[in-house]
Amino acid sequence: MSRKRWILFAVVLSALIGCLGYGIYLGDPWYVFDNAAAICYT
Amino acid sequence: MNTSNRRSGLPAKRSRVQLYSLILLNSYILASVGKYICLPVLNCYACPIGTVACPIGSITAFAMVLDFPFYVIGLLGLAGLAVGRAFCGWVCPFGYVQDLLHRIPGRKLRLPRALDATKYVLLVVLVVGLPLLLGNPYDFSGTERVVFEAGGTWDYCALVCPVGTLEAGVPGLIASPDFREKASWRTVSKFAILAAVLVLAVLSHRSFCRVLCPLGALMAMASRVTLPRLRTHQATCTRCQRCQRVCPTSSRLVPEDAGEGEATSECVLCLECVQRCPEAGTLSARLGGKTLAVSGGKTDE
Repeated sequence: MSRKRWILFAVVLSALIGCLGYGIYLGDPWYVFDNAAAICYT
Repeated sequence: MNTSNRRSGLPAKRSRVQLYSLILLNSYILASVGKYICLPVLNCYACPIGTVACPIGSITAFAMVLDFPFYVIGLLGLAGLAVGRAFCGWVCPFGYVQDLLHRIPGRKLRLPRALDATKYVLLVVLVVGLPLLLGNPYDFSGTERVVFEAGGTWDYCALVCPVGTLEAGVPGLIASPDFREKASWRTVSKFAILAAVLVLAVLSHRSFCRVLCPLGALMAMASRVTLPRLRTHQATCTRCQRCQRVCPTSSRLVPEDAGEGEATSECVLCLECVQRCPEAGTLSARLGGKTLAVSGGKTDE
């Protein structure tokens, strides 16, 4: 990969790790679990 | 013994991985832990035996309570960054179902590439847009995190998703009298969509992934900066088009310069093209700077 692409990769990676960490801090995984219900039920 | 139709090499390995993933992602005993986690595969988490949470259902649930799905986007993005759309090609159970259906012999179709954009429209309108605007009809505050309710909503899961219909709707209708009582015009339309998707999968390879999968749209965006890449060396390529003929998603190998080209974001890294390419070294799959697979000049066509 070119240097430019590695830099882009590193920026996106940092943003995603931050996103994941903040989501866990907010308790998102438990919300995801709570909604593991019959949502396609129509 | 005629072995012309037997799958060998990479396609055979991929089939095995897909089968194991189908079993693992529908292993009831793992569901109590797995449903906290979203993997970039379409496997309905309404299904009692489904192991992991559906990313599309989860994003919809967050949109309905006007919340940003930090955790889901973080997980999906990291998975996309690490292996790109290889999840679609090697892990997704519904992708495997389509691969199996496409092996049924008969006349095959090629869908126009213009239809590929449909999945982005579905992502914007039915996964994010309408749930954001209309919210959850069972909770009118729209600001509290409440459990997503079924029925009456206007979103991808409730209106379109053939995976939900196959894995939760069909068993529900068979097993539950309550489910049958509550069946509505939506149930009929979703079964019609499921039937159309399955028939189309026989006629056109991975047609659902290309045209209707909003998760495919998300992963296609992530694949622009992903580590694994499929590359072609223009100098040794004879333009025989064999790679194009076997590609399940009709991905194109776009020349970046005179020397090398790269597959478009529709590529699910199934590596069928690498297996079938008759020119040694012309196609290669790479992870960062490391070569994972390279065309060896052997062909089973």
